[in-house]
Amino acid sequence: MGVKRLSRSNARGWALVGMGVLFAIAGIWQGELRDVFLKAALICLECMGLR
Amino acid sequence: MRQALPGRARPLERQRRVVQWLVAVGANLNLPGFFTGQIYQGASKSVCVPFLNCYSCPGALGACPVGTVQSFAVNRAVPWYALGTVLAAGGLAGRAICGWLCPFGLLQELAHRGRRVMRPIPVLLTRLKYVIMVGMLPAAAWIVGAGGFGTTYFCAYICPAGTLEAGIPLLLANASLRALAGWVFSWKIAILIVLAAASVAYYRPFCRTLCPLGAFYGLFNRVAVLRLRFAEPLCTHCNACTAVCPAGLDVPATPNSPDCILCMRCTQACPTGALRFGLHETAVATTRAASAEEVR
Repeated sequence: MGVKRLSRSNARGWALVGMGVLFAIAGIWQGELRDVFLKAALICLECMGLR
Repeated sequence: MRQALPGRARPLERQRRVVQWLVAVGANLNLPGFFTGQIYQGASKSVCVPFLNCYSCPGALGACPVGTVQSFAVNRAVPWYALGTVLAAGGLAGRAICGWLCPFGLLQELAHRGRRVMRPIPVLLTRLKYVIMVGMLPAAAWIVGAGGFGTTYFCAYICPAGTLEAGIPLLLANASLRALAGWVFSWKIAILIVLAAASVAYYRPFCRTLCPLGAFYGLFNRVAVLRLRFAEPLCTHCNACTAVCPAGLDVPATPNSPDCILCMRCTQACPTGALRFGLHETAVATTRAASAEEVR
């Protein structure tokens, strides 16, 4: 019984983790790593306050 | 005024500080960049870190999720990968990410070091971060400039991490960038100075008032897999936890409050072990809850 209660209390957290992993995989599948790289590998003037 | 942290709370505090330093240094290991005025352009830049760390910091090895989701919003695209990263991190540990991993949180804590008086921040100010969290993406997508595109408004006009981690070191090392500094840079420097001064008096003022990522992770505090576990039957209402909470929270009344960054001081201060951080409830809590269910 205790074990059931424990798994239930964490179910929503694990569901969110699972959803996050699925989203991340979907993003990677669509080639978003390249888009992230293109943004992150160039100096971002906005981030520095130069615009 | 709240009391000083009890001596036995310090070992965990030290462990947390070690983790914070390891992450801050590990995420910004491109040290030559600080001297050359160039940012890292290796493959790891395609990886989103789950905490606020400007990707234009010369040392940064990864990408900031807040900047990433905004830049996708500017292009009116859904940032599945960055959203997935923060969703998974939030579901796993909520704002423990802020408390244990965020380099900008560490810097604010260092500024606040040694202060024992916990000053509350006006509630209205603590709600600002939710306004920023909700407004940030629509603003980036729909408030367009002359060129017909939006911009990463949070990064451009607010983010003090960008000013400190990217703006200052790059402008110091790169003369051509210095020539571009105008009123927006002055504005961001002013925000940074105000927050640095506030950090001396208040515990993590940026995290508590302006950080959209902290606001997002706070939503997960109550349901995260790793969260504070409060065994009410063990609580003697001595308020030792509330007395040491740097965020000024009433811990027994609101365990896992969205404003809790899971620094764990309360778990160490609790004399009965009613509070702890982890995957499971304490044995007494589950046993009593199970008994109550059986009686019903």
